[in-house]
Amino acid sequence: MKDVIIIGAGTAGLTAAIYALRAGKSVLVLEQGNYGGQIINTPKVENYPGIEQISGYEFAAGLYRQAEKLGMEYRSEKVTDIRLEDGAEAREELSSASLETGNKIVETTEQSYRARAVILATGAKNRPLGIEKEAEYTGRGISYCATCDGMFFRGKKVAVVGGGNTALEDAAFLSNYCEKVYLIHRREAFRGEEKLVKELRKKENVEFFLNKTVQELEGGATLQAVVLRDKISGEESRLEISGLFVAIGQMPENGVFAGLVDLDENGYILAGEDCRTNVEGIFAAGDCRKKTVRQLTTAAADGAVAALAAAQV
Amino acid sequence: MYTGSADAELKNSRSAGSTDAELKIGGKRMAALHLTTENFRKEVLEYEGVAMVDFWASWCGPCQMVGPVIEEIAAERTDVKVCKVNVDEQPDIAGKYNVMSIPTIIVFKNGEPATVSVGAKPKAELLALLS
Ligand SMILES: Cc1cc2nc3c(=O)[nH]c(=O)nc-3n(C[C@H](O)[C@H](O)[C@H](O)COP(=O)(O)OP(=O)(O)OC[C@H]3O[C@@H](n4cnc5c(N)ncnc54)[C@H](O)[C@@H]3O)c2cc1C
Repeated sequence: MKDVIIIGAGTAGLTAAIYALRAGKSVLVLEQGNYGGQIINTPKVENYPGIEQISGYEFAAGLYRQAEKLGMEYRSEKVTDIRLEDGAEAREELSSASLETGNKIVETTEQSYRARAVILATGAKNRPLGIEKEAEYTGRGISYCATCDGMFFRGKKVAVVGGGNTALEDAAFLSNYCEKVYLIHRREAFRGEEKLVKELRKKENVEFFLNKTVQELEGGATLQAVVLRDKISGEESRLEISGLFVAIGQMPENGVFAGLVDLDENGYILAGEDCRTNVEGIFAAGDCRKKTVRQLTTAAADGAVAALAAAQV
Repeated sequence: MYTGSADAELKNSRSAGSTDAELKIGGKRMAALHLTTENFRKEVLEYEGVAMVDFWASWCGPCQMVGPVIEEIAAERTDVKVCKVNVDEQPDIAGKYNVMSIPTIIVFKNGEPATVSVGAKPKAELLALLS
């Protein structure tokens, strides 16, 4: 039995661990992959207050060390379900008359755990295109991170899919190394900043493909071409490229909790700035929560708020 | 640099300040072996057995995450030759195996690539690549 179980070891989860441990609680952190979350993908963080510049990895490693020193228990397990302990289970577990209620059972791929309070800090992940062969070509031409993988496409033809700032920034970044950058967007207008669009239009090796969607992926051992469909004419065209950078936003991964906690229409957990979900003793912190600004600062802030509330449960 | 000779290896590592006990078990190497175009053929392609090769770069965060796990596997799995290829310094090896995202981990069996894994994975998943 733990005081607090935290699901996800990104910035929100590890900050929550630090605060809960400092409040004297026993803490178990469950993480499906490696600790650190999304930020380890970026070489440079320049907007965390008090730290002029740091790599995402160093930032995450610092958080982990801090929590570890305070006595965090950490396990590499994926959470598959959470439920409320029913009376019978509680009685069996306690084998006494003093029946505690409101405990949570957290199931992982390996085993199950009990806790007084649970903090969901599952973050978000890159949204895939959702087309055939996408997984097969990931790391074989398809990438979700231009700054991570761009260098493998030096002098080659690549495409970026998306219409937000990330897509525009990725296209600008890649245009410095690649022979040609095609920017594919399903609408006429970009969601991203006009200034970025203007800068891209000036670049000779950047070409815009508007009102088009990626329909198919072609290639052998690696990606060689994509088939595009024009949204207006319905016409299909083929574009030869060796790299496709997908930048169509993030999405949460809260499906396994949907039976218990309320989610919004996009799958984000419905919880306010107090991080409380509809279930007593279950909190949501960081990018997995419905909110307007998804950054390290807001993830850390949620971690602190959720942990201090969880410590009261 | 790995010379294949136990003595040379011990000497090298001693100068790096580690103890003998940390270094070897049954005469096998304990740290991941860094590969270059010069030794790749001999150490991987001509190696009769299982070699796990981690393609990485110093600027890659997820690679830094996986790095210590690779070293742990090198220390624990003396039946596997665990190696690393720095893609900045050895672009030819990375290109030959179509490495387009790092970390990429390729398991070679008797010199042939058998399994490819892309992205930072936890230890249990990396160990599963060997089975
Ligand atoms: C490339 C990139 C660059 C960025 N740059 C900046 C920047 O410069 N400044 C800034 O402030 N923000 C930046 N961000 C945003 C920032 O990374 C996020 O806001 C922050 O990581 C959110 O933290 P989190 O803890 O809520 O979620 P995440 O970092 O997403 O962590 C969630 C963790 O939960 C785990 N998890 C999910 N489901 C389960 C489950 N069922 N069981 C177990 N574990 C699970 C995941 O594996 C993950 O490790 C950037 C993001 C990206 C992708």
